Amino acid sequence: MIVFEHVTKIYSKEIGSLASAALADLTFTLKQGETLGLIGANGAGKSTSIRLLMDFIRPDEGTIQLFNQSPRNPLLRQKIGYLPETANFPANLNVLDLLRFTGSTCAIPKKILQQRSHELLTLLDLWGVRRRPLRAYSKGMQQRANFAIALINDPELLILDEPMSGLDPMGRKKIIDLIGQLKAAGKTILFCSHILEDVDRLVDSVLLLHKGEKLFHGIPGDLTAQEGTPSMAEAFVSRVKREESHA
Amino acid sequence: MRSPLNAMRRICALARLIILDGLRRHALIGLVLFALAGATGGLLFFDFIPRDIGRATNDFLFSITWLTGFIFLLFHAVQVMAWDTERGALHTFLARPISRTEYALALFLGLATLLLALNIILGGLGWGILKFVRGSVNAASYFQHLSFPFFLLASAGLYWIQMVILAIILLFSSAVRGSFPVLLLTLCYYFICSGLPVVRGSIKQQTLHGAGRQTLDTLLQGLTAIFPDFSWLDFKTLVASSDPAPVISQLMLPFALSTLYIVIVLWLACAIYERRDLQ
Amino acid sequence: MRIVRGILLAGLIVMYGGLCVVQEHKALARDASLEFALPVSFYAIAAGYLKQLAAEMLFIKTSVFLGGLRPGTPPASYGDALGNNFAVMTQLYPRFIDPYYFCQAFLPPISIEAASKASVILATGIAAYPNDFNLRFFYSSNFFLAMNEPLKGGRAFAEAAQIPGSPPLFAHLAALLSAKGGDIAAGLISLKTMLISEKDEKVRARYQQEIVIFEQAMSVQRALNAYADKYGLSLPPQSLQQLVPEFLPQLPEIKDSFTLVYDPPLLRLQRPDRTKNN
Repeated sequence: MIVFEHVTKIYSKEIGSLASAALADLTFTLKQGETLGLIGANGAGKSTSIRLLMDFIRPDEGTIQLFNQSPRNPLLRQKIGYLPETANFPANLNVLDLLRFTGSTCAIPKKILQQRSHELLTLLDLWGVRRRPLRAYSKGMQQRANFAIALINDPELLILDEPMSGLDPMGRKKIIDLIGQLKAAGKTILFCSHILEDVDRLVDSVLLLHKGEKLFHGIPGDLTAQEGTPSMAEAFVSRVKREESHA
Repeated sequence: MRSPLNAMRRICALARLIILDGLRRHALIGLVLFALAGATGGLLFFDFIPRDIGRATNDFLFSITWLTGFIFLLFHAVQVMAWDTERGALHTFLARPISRTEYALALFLGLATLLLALNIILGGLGWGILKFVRGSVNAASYFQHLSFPFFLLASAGLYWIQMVILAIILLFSSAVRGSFPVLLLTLCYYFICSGLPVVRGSIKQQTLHGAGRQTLDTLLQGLTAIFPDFSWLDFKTLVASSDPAPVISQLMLPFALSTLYIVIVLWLACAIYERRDLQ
Repeated sequence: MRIVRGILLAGLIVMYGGLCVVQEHKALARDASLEFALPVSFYAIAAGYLKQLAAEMLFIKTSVFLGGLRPGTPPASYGDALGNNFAVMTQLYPRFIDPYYFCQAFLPPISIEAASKASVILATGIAAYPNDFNLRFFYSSNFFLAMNEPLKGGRAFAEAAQIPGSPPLFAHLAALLSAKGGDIAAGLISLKTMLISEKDEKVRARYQQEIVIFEQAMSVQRALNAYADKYGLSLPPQSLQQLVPEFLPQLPEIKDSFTLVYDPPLLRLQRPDRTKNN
């Protein structure tokens, strides 16, 4: 479903700093129905990878295939549910406006849209505040609203960038359960998070990035075995430290 | 699924969001109230004009409409279109199956609709005030002429000028990040458009007196294609005065020219949006 | 602490109020003055679509100043600024009629320079409203009322008289002012032209009377021309009596409210002088 082949992205230099490679010769594949965890330190290239998938930015080298097409085709996003780390909304809109907008762009019939909106908003405890402006939502409520908007079109591929960000423990549990349900339903999920316990619990494979380069791609068990650590968090730290010392 | 009809549907869906957001903003309501207060306060202003009351009233009302529209463009439109990290909803919308071109056109359509609504409200109020003032003075001496067709023409001219500026804001927003730089660039653009005819007039006078600046004159002519002379669309003096009415070709040419200009600028803006990284 | 802060704030407010009062007193005591307007191009660029409003606001500012002038304020103290403001607002918005009326009312009486400035401003108005007889009247009459240039006034009235529908007054004034300015021949031609087109018998009779007087004056002018031919232009006669009998049998007796005035080398035919500028 997702194929990155020798993808390189260099951000233009700004005054006072050098040009830096956000991604360097990255190659990986995500098959249909799989859940991939994208992990790495800050500046590793996780967000860059997601932006490339969403066609917010374009690669300098290499190719990206999404559903066997270039991500430049905007209609592919009918099959994608994207949850950004921080979403900005026009200040005076409510979640219903954005669900209606998503429905229009994804050509969802009105009745189905209403039904799904009700289901999702009820599931995410937002039905009672559906008409409140999004700027009046708490961080947790906004995150849940983002989730509803990401799922309204019943996407085949979910791209979740820090889905647990800003959630309290109850909220986190709910989202984890939801992701589990989506996984069981056969959705393909690309999941990016700093909370490695959640990654370990949910993903089929993990892609470890460091300074734009791929350090590891495989099942979490292989990473812990390779590093000789009991948990994935420790395996991550160990692998990154090893890379730093070589550099 | 990529038919023009579906594209129109997506554009209208996003434009509807822009309109809803705009209508719900207290700032916009405040803008209308500001214009209402200004237009009503103008009733005092007209007392100072002894003879040309009709002309002065009309100029004032159109000026209020222009000023309100300009504030809308510089503050609301720039904010909506800019990609500020804090305010921009660019990625929120582009995460949906809407192309960058459709996004740009939807922004333009949504804001143009809001601007039209603003102009209609203020235009209706303006017309009412004109009728009221005309009814309260000796029309034969002080307010002889009042033409509704010319009022519509002047309103259309004003709206077209605002559309040109809106298209330019979209172009700047596509190329430059941040609302403040876009605002500054738009102001510079406007002042160049206002100043260029003045400079051209001055150069022309010198050329007529044999000072020989043909090259400069030609250069300025070329610049006018990029920075249009808005006075061609300024028909407000026709509404309440005996100023000579333009012929049909004089009317059609500025509208046709500015429409083409808007289309070209939108095309450029969409092309920039399509090509550049949006980060 | 709170009380101290409260006292401090109250003190600040009182001080501020006091300074406001002082400033207001100074403003009242200060003579009202009119500032020069910025150049036209500045307003045209800065105001753009609002340039007509800018001109109207300049007009209001000027008219408020004129309405608030203290009695005894010397016009020369504000004449330049007044002329400048009228010039700017009329160049900015030539079809705004009010400034021309105010200009005519307030500028020419100040000085000859101010009247000259008013002429330039009124010329702008005439360019915008070529068929406005009021503006043409203001423009033309300024020449002889305020600037002692009757010949220019005559020419201006003659030009205005060419406009279809112009009042007969213009042609008549053109004739009279030409004569006053020393161009009696032009005045005579004007009168004869008016006689041809006039239908009213009483008016025709008056024109015929005036033509007789003009022709008498022309005989003196022809005598002066002959004198100049013989003795040269640089040596005009000191008085009209010197023309008799060589060039003129006798000096004509000009009656009926005209006088022949010899102002070497110009011969003028004019009404008895009632204006202070003559």
